[in-house]
Amino acid sequence: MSWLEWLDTATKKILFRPDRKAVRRELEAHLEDLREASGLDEETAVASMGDPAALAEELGRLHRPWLGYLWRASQIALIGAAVMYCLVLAMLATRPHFQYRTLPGVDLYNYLQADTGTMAALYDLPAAEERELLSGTVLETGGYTIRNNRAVYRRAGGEDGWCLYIDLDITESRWEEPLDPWFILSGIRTNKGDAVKSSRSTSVDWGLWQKCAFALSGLPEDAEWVELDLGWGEWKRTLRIDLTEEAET
Amino acid sequence: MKKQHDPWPRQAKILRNILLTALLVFLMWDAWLWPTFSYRADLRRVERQMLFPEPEMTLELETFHGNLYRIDLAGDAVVAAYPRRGTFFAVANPSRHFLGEEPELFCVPYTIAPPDGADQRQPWAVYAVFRPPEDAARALLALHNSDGDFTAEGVREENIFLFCICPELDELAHNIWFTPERYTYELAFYDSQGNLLQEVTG
Repeated sequence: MSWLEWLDTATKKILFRPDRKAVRRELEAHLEDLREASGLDEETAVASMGDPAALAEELGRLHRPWLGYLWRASQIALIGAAVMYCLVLAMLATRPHFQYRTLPGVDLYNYLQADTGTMAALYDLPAAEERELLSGTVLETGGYTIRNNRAVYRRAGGEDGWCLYIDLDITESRWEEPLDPWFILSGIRTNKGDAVKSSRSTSVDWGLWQKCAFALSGLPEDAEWVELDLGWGEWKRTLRIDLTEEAET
Repeated sequence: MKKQHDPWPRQAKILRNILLTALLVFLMWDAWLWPTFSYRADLRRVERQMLFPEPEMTLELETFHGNLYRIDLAGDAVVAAYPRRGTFFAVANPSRHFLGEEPELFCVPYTIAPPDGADQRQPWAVYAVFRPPEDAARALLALHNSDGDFTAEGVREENIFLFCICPELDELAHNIWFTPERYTYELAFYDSQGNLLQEVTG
């Protein structure tokens, strides 16, 4: 039996091709070592390697093909996932929501200032008068804890008159479900009725933490309080902000 | 020739690859804003993000093309949604409506399959009225658009009256049936004795 025939016979029961190649290389190296050490010719050396059929049975038992196939499948899945991930990142990188939600601790004041229209007017104009109001109210609803972190009442000048900025910290029980700041606002009232000229909102989120801001403009001159209804039906909660009580600084 | 020993046994490599794949899939799911495979689950999640509780009432209509159009009602709000097509994941595409003091006509923006018992096997236009007067047993709708005047009797489903109108097929091609600015209507609600309870125009 030639050396190549011996190798073919000994490895024929290893079904996973990469394993078969590796075992062949190992057997070749072994034969080479044997010939170098003993000085035998090829035929004698091959004969001294033993019965290839018996070895094939043993090697076939040791090298289970499903493990090899599983390994190859896991490699393909990993490479595929890595390629997909790069594509997803490339596709999403240009979307604003993706940029904002990946910036922990982003300054909402700056974010709002970059916005157009009312919000820009609200923060760019020098305040004729500004009051830091009492805050700290905590509301719990729908698995969310909403804390009124800051409230600033300010006369911005121009047509907007008095504006109220409300900064909320929201903690979520489900990190993949940040609140939709615009739609949670189900009502705005003041002691002078529903007269609020316009309202804007924005939010950023990171994990279980979300920061959300509302800006109400054109509040009545002599308004004493503002109530914001957050949520709908049985989940509706009211955040009341007293416009007359200033926070201690 | 020296044999190179691989520090990782094959089982460990498989486990490592599976874990890394799972991590990448998770990161993709996160970057894609957490899509689901179920349209209803996606809609419910969107609702939770609006602080919209478990709906007091849900109505599901089958559109003429076999999709499910779902209307959820809670408090003063209605969330209506259909599954967005052309995506691998099930994405609800919700529209949101605030309910006013008076009942008002809500237009289902798709043609629906013929109601039970209907003769015409063609697409129907559907309108809904939420929170009608409590004692209302009957409701009549008179709808006017550039195709003509149409009337329909409402079918009550708990707290919703549904009005189905079967226009001619060539009329449905126009957008006038689904654009509230392009039609006017009168609604009349009657109690079980036939007394007029309320009239609404829009």
